[in-house]
Amino acid sequence: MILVLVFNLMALVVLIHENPIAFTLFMFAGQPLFVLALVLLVGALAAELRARRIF
Amino acid sequence: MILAAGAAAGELSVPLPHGWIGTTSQWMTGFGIGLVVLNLILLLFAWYRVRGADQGPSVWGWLLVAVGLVPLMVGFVTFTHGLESSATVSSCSSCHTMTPFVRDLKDVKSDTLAATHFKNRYIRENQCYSCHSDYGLGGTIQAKLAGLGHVWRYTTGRYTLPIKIAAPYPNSRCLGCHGESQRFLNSPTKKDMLPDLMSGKTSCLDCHAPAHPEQKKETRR
Repeated sequence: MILVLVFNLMALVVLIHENPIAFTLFMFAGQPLFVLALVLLVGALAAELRARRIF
Repeated sequence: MILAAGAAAGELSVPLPHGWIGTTSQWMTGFGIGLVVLNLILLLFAWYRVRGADQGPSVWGWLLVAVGLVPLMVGFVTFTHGLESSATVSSCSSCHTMTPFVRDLKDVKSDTLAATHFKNRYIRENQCYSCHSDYGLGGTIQAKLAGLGHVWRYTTGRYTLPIKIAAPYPNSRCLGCHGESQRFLNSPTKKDMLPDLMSGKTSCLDCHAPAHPEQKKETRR
Protein backbone atom coordinates (compact mmCIF):
# COMPACT_ATOMS: atom_id res chain seq x y z
CA MET A 1 0.00 0.00 0.00
CA ILE A 2 2.92 2.35 0.68
CA LEU A 3 4.23 1.66 -2.83
CA VAL A 4 0.85 2.63 -4.32
CA LEU A 5 0.73 5.68 -2.05
CA VAL A 6 4.10 6.87 -3.43
CA PHE A 7 2.89 6.08 -6.97
CA ASN A 8 -0.21 8.21 -6.38
CA LEU A 9 1.80 11.13 -5.01
CA MET A 10 4.09 11.04 -8.06
CA ALA A 11 1.03 10.95 -10.32
CA LEU A 12 -0.42 13.93 -8.47
CA VAL A 13 2.76 15.94 -9.10
CA VAL A 14 2.58 15.17 -12.84
CA LEU A 15 -1.12 16.08 -12.98
CA ILE A 16 -0.86 19.33 -11.03
CA HIS A 17 2.53 20.65 -12.12
CA GLU A 18 3.70 18.83 -15.22
CA ASN A 19 7.35 19.14 -16.12
CA PRO A 20 9.61 16.74 -18.04
CA ILE A 21 11.59 15.67 -14.96
CA ALA A 22 8.46 14.82 -12.93
CA PHE A 23 7.02 12.88 -15.85
CA THR A 24 10.25 10.96 -16.42
CA LEU A 25 10.41 10.10 -12.71
CA PHE A 26 6.80 8.94 -12.85
CA MET A 27 7.51 6.73 -15.86
CA PHE A 28 10.72 5.14 -14.61
CA ALA A 29 10.15 5.08 -10.83
CA GLY A 30 6.41 5.50 -10.21
CA GLN A 31 5.11 2.92 -12.65
CA PRO A 32 7.58 0.18 -11.60
CA LEU A 33 6.52 0.83 -7.97
CA PHE A 34 2.91 0.18 -8.96
CA VAL A 35 3.85 -3.00 -10.86
CA LEU A 36 5.84 -4.18 -7.84
CA ALA A 37 2.86 -3.50 -5.55
CA LEU A 38 0.59 -5.42 -7.90
CA VAL A 39 2.97 -8.41 -8.04
CA LEU A 40 3.23 -8.45 -4.23
CA LEU A 41 -0.55 -8.29 -3.91
CA VAL A 42 -1.12 -11.12 -6.39
CA GLY A 43 1.58 -13.14 -4.59
CA ALA A 44 -0.07 -12.57 -1.20
CA LEU A 45 -3.48 -13.44 -2.62
CA ALA A 46 -2.15 -16.64 -4.19
CA ALA A 47 -0.51 -17.62 -0.88
CA GLU A 48 -3.78 -16.98 0.96
CA LEU A 49 -5.75 -19.07 -1.52
CA ARG A 50 -3.22 -21.89 -1.26
CA ALA A 51 -3.38 -21.77 2.54
CA ARG A 52 -7.14 -22.11 2.39
CA ARG A 53 -6.75 -24.90 -0.19
CA ILE A 54 -8.90 -23.05 -2.69
CA PHE A 55 -6.24 -22.69 -5.37
CA MET B 1 3.05 49.64 -34.96
CA ILE B 2 3.81 46.17 -33.63
CA LEU B 3 3.79 47.44 -30.06
CA ALA B 4 0.43 49.11 -30.60
CA ALA B 5 -1.01 45.96 -32.06
CA GLY B 6 0.44 43.94 -29.18
CA ALA B 7 -1.02 46.32 -26.61
CA ALA B 8 -4.42 46.23 -28.29
CA ALA B 9 -4.33 42.44 -28.35
CA GLY B 10 -3.43 42.46 -24.66
CA GLU B 11 -6.57 44.38 -23.75
CA LEU B 12 -8.83 42.27 -25.91
CA SER B 13 -9.55 38.61 -25.44
CA VAL B 14 -10.73 36.05 -27.96
CA PRO B 15 -14.37 35.17 -27.27
CA LEU B 16 -14.97 31.59 -26.22
CA PRO B 17 -17.53 29.45 -28.04
CA HIS B 18 -21.05 29.40 -26.60
CA GLY B 19 -21.35 26.84 -23.80
CA TRP B 20 -17.57 26.65 -23.20
CA ILE B 21 -16.82 24.03 -20.57
CA GLY B 22 -13.04 23.85 -20.84
CA THR B 23 -10.69 21.70 -22.89
CA THR B 24 -10.50 17.92 -22.99
CA SER B 25 -7.03 18.18 -21.46
CA GLN B 26 -8.36 20.23 -18.51
CA TRP B 27 -11.11 17.69 -17.93
CA MET B 28 -8.66 14.79 -18.09
CA THR B 29 -6.41 16.54 -15.56
CA GLY B 30 -9.39 17.05 -13.24
CA PHE B 31 -10.47 13.45 -13.74
CA GLY B 32 -6.94 12.25 -12.98
CA ILE B 33 -6.72 14.33 -9.78
CA GLY B 34 -10.14 12.97 -8.75
CA LEU B 35 -8.92 9.41 -9.31
CA VAL B 36 -5.81 10.03 -7.21
CA VAL B 37 -7.93 11.42 -4.35
CA LEU B 38 -10.31 8.45 -4.65
CA ASN B 39 -7.35 6.08 -4.60
CA LEU B 40 -5.92 7.70 -1.47
CA ILE B 41 -9.30 7.34 0.29
CA LEU B 42 -9.56 3.70 -0.86
CA LEU B 43 -6.02 2.99 0.36
CA LEU B 44 -6.88 4.42 3.77
CA PHE B 45 -10.07 2.39 3.89
CA ALA B 46 -8.31 -0.82 2.80
CA TRP B 47 -5.57 -0.19 5.39
CA TYR B 48 -8.20 0.01 8.16
CA ARG B 49 -9.84 -3.18 6.90
CA VAL B 50 -6.52 -5.06 6.75
CA ARG B 51 -5.66 -4.02 10.30
CA GLY B 52 -9.15 -4.82 11.56
CA ALA B 53 -10.45 -8.14 12.84
CA ASP B 54 -12.33 -8.94 9.64
CA GLN B 55 -9.94 -10.79 7.31
CA GLY B 56 -12.57 -12.21 5.02
CA PRO B 57 -12.73 -12.20 1.22
CA SER B 58 -14.05 -8.63 1.16
CA VAL B 59 -10.68 -7.34 2.46
CA TRP B 60 -8.98 -8.85 -0.59
CA GLY B 61 -11.62 -7.26 -2.77
CA TRP B 62 -10.89 -3.81 -1.32
CA LEU B 63 -7.15 -4.42 -1.71
CA LEU B 64 -7.58 -5.39 -5.36
CA VAL B 65 -9.54 -2.20 -6.00
CA ALA B 66 -7.20 0.08 -4.00
CA VAL B 67 -3.88 -1.45 -5.08
CA GLY B 68 -4.82 -2.85 -8.49
CA LEU B 69 -7.79 -1.41 -10.34
CA VAL B 70 -7.85 2.30 -9.43
CA PRO B 71 -4.03 2.78 -9.62
CA LEU B 72 -4.18 1.23 -13.09
CA MET B 73 -6.63 3.97 -14.10
CA VAL B 74 -4.49 6.62 -12.37
CA GLY B 75 -1.44 5.36 -14.27
CA PHE B 76 -3.21 5.45 -17.62
CA VAL B 77 -4.62 8.97 -17.16
CA THR B 78 -1.34 10.34 -15.77
CA PHE B 79 0.71 8.77 -18.52
CA THR B 80 -1.48 10.15 -21.32
CA HIS B 81 -1.62 13.56 -19.62
CA GLY B 82 2.16 13.60 -19.16
CA LEU B 83 2.76 12.51 -22.74
CA GLU B 84 0.51 15.27 -24.06
CA SER B 85 1.84 17.94 -21.70
CA SER B 86 5.46 17.13 -22.51
CA ALA B 87 4.85 18.50 -26.02
CA THR B 88 3.83 21.98 -24.84
CA VAL B 89 5.98 25.10 -25.06
CA SER B 90 5.80 25.51 -21.27
CA SER B 91 7.24 22.01 -20.87
CA CYS B 92 10.16 22.82 -23.18
CA SER B 93 10.76 26.13 -21.41
CA SER B 94 10.91 24.45 -17.99
CA CYS B 95 14.61 23.79 -18.69
CA HIS B 96 16.55 27.04 -18.41
CA THR B 97 18.69 26.23 -21.47
CA MET B 98 15.55 26.85 -23.53
CA THR B 99 14.80 30.28 -21.98
CA PRO B 100 16.40 32.44 -24.73
CA PHE B 101 14.65 30.43 -27.45
CA VAL B 102 11.23 30.65 -25.83
CA ARG B 103 11.72 34.34 -24.99
CA ASP B 104 12.44 35.01 -28.66
CA LEU B 105 9.55 32.78 -29.72
CA LYS B 106 7.11 34.93 -27.75
CA ASP B 107 8.67 38.25 -28.76
CA VAL B 108 6.27 39.94 -31.20
CA LYS B 109 9.11 42.17 -32.40
CA SER B 110 11.33 39.25 -33.38
CA ASP B 111 11.55 38.20 -37.01
CA THR B 112 13.17 34.82 -36.53
CA LEU B 113 11.43 31.93 -38.27
CA ALA B 114 10.21 30.44 -34.98
CA ALA B 115 8.82 33.77 -33.73
CA THR B 116 7.08 34.44 -37.05
CA HIS B 117 5.34 31.06 -36.87
CA PHE B 118 4.39 31.65 -33.23
CA LYS B 119 3.11 35.24 -33.39
CA ASN B 120 1.03 34.56 -36.48
CA ARG B 121 -0.18 31.24 -35.08
CA TYR B 122 0.89 29.35 -38.21
CA ILE B 123 1.11 26.54 -35.67
CA ARG B 124 -1.67 26.79 -33.12
CA GLU B 125 -0.13 24.91 -30.20
CA ASN B 126 2.90 22.82 -29.19
CA GLN B 127 5.04 24.99 -31.45
CA CYS B 128 8.45 23.65 -30.31
CA TYR B 129 7.35 20.03 -30.63
CA SER B 130 5.59 20.54 -33.99
CA CYS B 131 8.76 21.79 -35.66
CA HIS B 132 11.23 19.57 -33.82
CA SER B 133 9.58 16.18 -34.32
CA ASP B 134 9.00 14.21 -37.49
CA TYR B 135 5.52 13.35 -38.66
CA GLY B 136 3.88 10.02 -37.89
CA LEU B 137 4.27 7.49 -35.09
CA GLY B 138 7.98 7.01 -35.79
CA GLY B 139 8.54 10.73 -35.34
CA THR B 140 6.69 10.76 -32.04
CA ILE B 141 8.66 7.80 -30.69
CA GLN B 142 11.95 9.32 -31.87
CA ALA B 143 11.06 12.69 -30.29
CA LYS B 144 10.12 11.10 -26.97
CA LEU B 145 13.36 9.09 -26.88
CA ALA B 146 15.32 12.24 -27.70
CA GLY B 147 13.40 14.02 -24.93
CA LEU B 148 14.53 11.37 -22.44
CA GLY B 149 18.10 12.07 -23.51
CA HIS B 150 17.52 15.80 -23.00
CA VAL B 151 16.16 15.23 -19.47
CA TRP B 152 19.13 13.00 -18.64
CA ARG B 153 21.70 15.47 -19.93
CA TYR B 154 19.94 18.42 -18.30
CA THR B 155 19.65 16.83 -14.84
CA THR B 156 23.19 15.44 -14.90
CA GLY B 157 24.65 18.63 -16.43
CA ARG B 158 26.16 16.71 -19.36
CA TYR B 159 25.74 19.39 -21.98
CA THR B 160 27.74 22.32 -23.27
CA LEU B 161 26.62 25.80 -24.21
CA PRO B 162 25.81 27.01 -26.77
CA ILE B 163 23.54 24.04 -27.46
CA LYS B 164 23.36 22.72 -30.99
CA ILE B 165 20.70 20.84 -32.89
CA ALA B 166 21.56 17.13 -32.95
CA ALA B 167 21.17 16.70 -36.73
CA PRO B 168 20.72 19.06 -39.70
CA TYR B 169 17.14 20.30 -39.79
CA PRO B 170 15.26 18.25 -42.43
CA ASN B 171 13.02 19.94 -45.00
CA SER B 172 10.36 17.26 -44.45
CA ARG B 173 9.33 19.01 -41.22
CA CYS B 174 8.61 22.24 -43.10
CA LEU B 175 7.06 20.46 -46.05
CA GLY B 176 4.72 18.47 -43.83
CA CYS B 177 2.65 21.67 -43.59
CA HIS B 178 3.85 23.83 -46.49
CA GLY B 179 4.46 21.09 -49.05
CA GLU B 180 0.85 20.74 -50.09
CA SER B 181 -0.08 24.39 -49.73
CA GLN B 182 -1.13 25.96 -53.05
CA ARG B 183 0.48 29.24 -52.03
CA PHE B 184 3.78 27.40 -51.62
CA LEU B 185 3.47 25.21 -54.71
CA ASN B 186 2.50 28.14 -56.96
CA SER B 187 4.96 30.62 -55.51
CA PRO B 188 7.00 32.09 -58.39
CA THR B 189 10.14 32.24 -56.25
CA LYS B 190 9.93 28.55 -55.31
CA LYS B 191 8.67 26.99 -58.52
CA ASP B 192 12.13 26.33 -59.93
CA MET B 193 13.47 25.17 -56.59
CA LEU B 194 10.72 22.69 -55.78
CA PRO B 195 12.62 19.51 -56.83
CA ASP B 196 15.65 20.57 -54.79
CA LEU B 197 13.49 21.47 -51.78
CA MET B 198 11.57 18.21 -51.94
CA SER B 199 14.75 16.15 -52.24
CA GLY B 200 16.49 18.10 -49.50
CA LYS B 201 19.28 19.23 -51.82
CA THR B 202 18.44 22.80 -50.86
CA SER B 203 17.56 23.51 -47.25
CA CYS B 204 14.56 25.69 -46.44
CA LEU B 205 16.78 27.39 -43.89
CA ASP B 206 19.22 28.50 -46.61
CA CYS B 207 16.77 31.33 -47.29
CA HIS B 208 14.59 31.42 -44.19
CA ALA B 209 17.22 31.56 -41.45
CA PRO B 210 17.65 32.34 -38.67
CA ALA B 211 15.18 29.98 -37.07
CA HIS B 212 16.23 31.08 -33.58
CA PRO B 213 18.34 33.94 -32.21
CA GLU B 214 22.11 33.66 -32.01
CA GLN B 215 23.26 32.17 -28.73
CA LYS B 216 25.79 33.85 -26.50
CA LYS B 217 29.25 32.36 -26.80
CA GLU B 218 29.51 30.82 -23.35
CA THR B 219 30.70 27.41 -22.38
CA ARG B 220 29.61 27.36 -18.74
CA ARG B 221 26.71 25.16 -17.73
